[in-house]
Amino acid sequence: MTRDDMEQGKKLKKRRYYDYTLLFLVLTLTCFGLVMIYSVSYYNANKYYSDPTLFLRKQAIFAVAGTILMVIISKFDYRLYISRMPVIKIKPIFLLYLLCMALQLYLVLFGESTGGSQRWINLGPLGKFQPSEITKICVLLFTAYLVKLAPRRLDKFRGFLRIMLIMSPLIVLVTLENLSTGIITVVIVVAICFVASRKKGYYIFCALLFVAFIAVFIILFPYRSERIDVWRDIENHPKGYQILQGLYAIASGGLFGKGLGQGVQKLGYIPEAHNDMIFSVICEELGMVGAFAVLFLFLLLLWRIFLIAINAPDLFGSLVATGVLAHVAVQVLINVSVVTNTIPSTGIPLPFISYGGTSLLVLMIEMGMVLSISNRIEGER
Amino acid sequence: MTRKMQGTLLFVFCVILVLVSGLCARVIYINATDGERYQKKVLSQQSYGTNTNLPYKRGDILDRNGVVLAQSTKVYNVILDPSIIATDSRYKEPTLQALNEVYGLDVGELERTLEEHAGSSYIRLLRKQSFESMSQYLSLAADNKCIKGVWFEEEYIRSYPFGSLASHVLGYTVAGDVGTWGIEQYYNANLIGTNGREYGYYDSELNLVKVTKEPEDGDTIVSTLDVNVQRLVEQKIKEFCSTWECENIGVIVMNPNDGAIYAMASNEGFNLNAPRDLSLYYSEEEQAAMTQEEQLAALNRMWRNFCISDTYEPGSTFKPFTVAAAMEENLVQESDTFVCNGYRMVAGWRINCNNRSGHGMVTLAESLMKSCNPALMAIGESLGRDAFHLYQEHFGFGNPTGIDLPGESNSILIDLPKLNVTELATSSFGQGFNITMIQLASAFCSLVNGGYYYQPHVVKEIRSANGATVYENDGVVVNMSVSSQTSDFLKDALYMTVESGTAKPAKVAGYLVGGKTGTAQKGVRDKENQKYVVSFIGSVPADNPEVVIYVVIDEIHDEAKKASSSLATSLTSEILSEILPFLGIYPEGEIDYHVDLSLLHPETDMDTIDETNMIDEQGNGAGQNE
Repeated sequence: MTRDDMEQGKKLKKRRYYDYTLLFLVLTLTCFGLVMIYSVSYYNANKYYSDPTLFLRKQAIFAVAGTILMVIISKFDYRLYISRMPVIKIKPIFLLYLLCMALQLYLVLFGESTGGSQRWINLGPLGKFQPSEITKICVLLFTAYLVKLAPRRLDKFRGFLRIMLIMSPLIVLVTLENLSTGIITVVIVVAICFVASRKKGYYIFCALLFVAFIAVFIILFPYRSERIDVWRDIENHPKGYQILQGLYAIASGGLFGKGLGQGVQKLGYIPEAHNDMIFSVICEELGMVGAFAVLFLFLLLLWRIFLIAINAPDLFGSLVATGVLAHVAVQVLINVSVVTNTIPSTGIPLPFISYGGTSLLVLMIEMGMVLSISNRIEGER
Repeated sequence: MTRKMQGTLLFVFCVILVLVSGLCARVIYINATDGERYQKKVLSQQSYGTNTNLPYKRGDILDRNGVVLAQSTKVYNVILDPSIIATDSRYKEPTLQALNEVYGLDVGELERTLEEHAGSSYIRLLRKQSFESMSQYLSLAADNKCIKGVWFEEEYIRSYPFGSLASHVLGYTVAGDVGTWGIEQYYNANLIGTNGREYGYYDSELNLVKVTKEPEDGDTIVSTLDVNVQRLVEQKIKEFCSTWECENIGVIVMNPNDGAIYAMASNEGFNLNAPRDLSLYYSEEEQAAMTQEEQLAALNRMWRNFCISDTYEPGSTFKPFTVAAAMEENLVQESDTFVCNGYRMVAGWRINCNNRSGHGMVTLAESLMKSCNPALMAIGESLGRDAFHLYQEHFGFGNPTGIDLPGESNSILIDLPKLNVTELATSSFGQGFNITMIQLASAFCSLVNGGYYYQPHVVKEIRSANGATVYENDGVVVNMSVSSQTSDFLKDALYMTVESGTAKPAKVAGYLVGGKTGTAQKGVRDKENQKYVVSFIGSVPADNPEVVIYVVIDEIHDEAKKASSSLATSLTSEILSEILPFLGIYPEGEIDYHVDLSLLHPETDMDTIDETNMIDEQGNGAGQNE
């Protein structure tokens, strides 16, 4: 057999691709998250619930369930979402859109108001369910679908506006309920459109519009603008306590940190340290080195998604991967920015690491979709 | 995906890369600029772990047989932590229900507390709850996972199982574990311990190091008191008071052979568990009407330990000491006789005997048996003021005995320069100077035990918390008061005084009792409203005393009986008959005590002796005695 034959044979044996690197990265981040959740929460869990592993166990259940869900989803063709279902002849993406609308409307109309905004639907023994997380997936898929239907339209501003208009009911509902999730959905939509369009000029205008939108929102809702005051004067503002304690944690970590589990700021000083503030404890216990390693892991993850996006067999797959990339990236960026007091505070969890079942599940589903896209890549590229 | 799109996406990725790098720079910046300052803040806001106080246990007080008289019991303060209850909406209702069920707290009120102190972690709902109630609550909490946010803080309370028993001797404690009065005060330094502490600190590596310093419990005090004797004495005093009204009654029961106090009681005890409670002696209206000063005075009267704090003129119970002193100086012999005409002229004053018609010729022993004043005056005279005063002090009068109790009074003797013939004459039968009960009882012990003056004491042993004996008092001889010959004579004479003399009512069937009565004039001499202190001091068994009892009744409010020492002697007899078996002294089947005294008039019927004192004609001169 000649070398050419061998190469041909190899080519003939078409292998389906599966991005194990991505899978590995996801599992690494999730497991690291579990370790950190235990380290951060054992003290308070023991103090208030007499059960040090309470949060760890809850999160671990979601991590296992999420991993299974991710693997299953990755084995289904992602194009099923936009093809008609066999019996009822409706594309699942529409069903998802309707479901999200219904859930968000339910929250706006019937949600009990606790502390200004209702974000949860209580599912009794299953815990609390946060519909806005599902909405992120919906917005992501639906935008990718719309763009895929007519990518040329995006070359004009009207085409972009049309997509924004179609998505706006969901975005508005989500934003009413939770500003930070609203921002994330907008970023996802804009990111997909930005990547898909051939003309970028109007995005500058759009960015300005976005800034204006934020400004109007802040002026209209003084509850939000107080956060600006806190951000500007974090050390003296009475409401800056949580962020300030996070900063104390970050600053006291030094280069290599105090060691895993050795931090003291989680001992009641940083409220809810296992949620959005977990990055500050990572800094405290693992130091700058540990924090940068985590960020590097996220960059690797994003890089793998990026590779899948540019290699996806079709435009829809590319755009979905792009959306997921934007989603993960924006959450990491906003979370770390808030924790380091770089921007005014808003509650966004650190993907895969922060405590929160719905958030983790949704991310796992998205990873499953990206893996499914990777699974459709043929050849070895 | 077109090339252009791929390029755009790469651009997006690069933007993300830049932003992440920016955030990394931000983290470095925070560490570099604020690192040190924030690190210090982190350390300064640390509470160094749990810095909790571990309370020590105040030592117990036991009686001589190990019965607990005072103890510290662990109690539990119920602490509510609203911040925990706020963590889950399921917690509130069952927790408040459980509190209501166990402690009867109002749910509505608790809800209000939760609202008012939403951010707090420490609300003390109840203090000093029992272990039982706590375990009841904890078992509820074990059954229901939603019962949260209540914990228990340990504390000790002082309790006195016998209430008012031996209240003056034991004393009580006030807030902060400070012993007040009695053994609690005198031995406070032994009873208290050292609090433990649980704390943490950061070592050079900034690791939290936890340290638990265990509390050191206080020492256990074993007192010389006997619960049964004390209880019976107090009971008899109460019974007496229900028949006769009087100002004060004091009773001391002690061991003459080591100075240990078995019982010390007066008629005004107080509840040790509520030492400020005046309701024993005053109705609520009376208490409400009191001014603060009056209330304080009433409390002080109630707390006052009559047996060591009050002074009075001893009267005839002092006569054995005059006789003893003269015998020691070899000025009188057993065989000496004295003539009593019913009075004796001293420096122009006529001082009467209790028997106006006179006892005639009396022996030395009879002078005690009949309590003959002229005979004693003669003996006192032969002693002279220097020797008399010397012996007064030699027997411990005029100085505190040093008993291990707070509040002992000094007595007031007549100063040597003022001890003129008249004063000497009255002093020789126990009038004109003041002493305390404990002084007389201790001195009397030495007369009947062979001459050993033991320091009176109420504590016989101190044990450390782990059971080691750190102090023991088996009797400290501070002085030799009389020779054994004198002691033997006095034992005989005192036995005869009870057997056939003035103290007959003190007899206890089956026992040999020796003793001396006393009826002393009190305060200003006044023919019409003269007040008296009647008393009896005695020892059992008379030949080899194991118990000395001293009973003093101050101002009986009864014209007929006010000067009758028979009330004191019969009270003594009642007490003795009950307490002696508890002290291991049992009635002898056949009493065979041969008294070898040369009595001049053994046939004299002492029953007819008029015990009341008569006032001498010159009014408020020195008083007379029985």
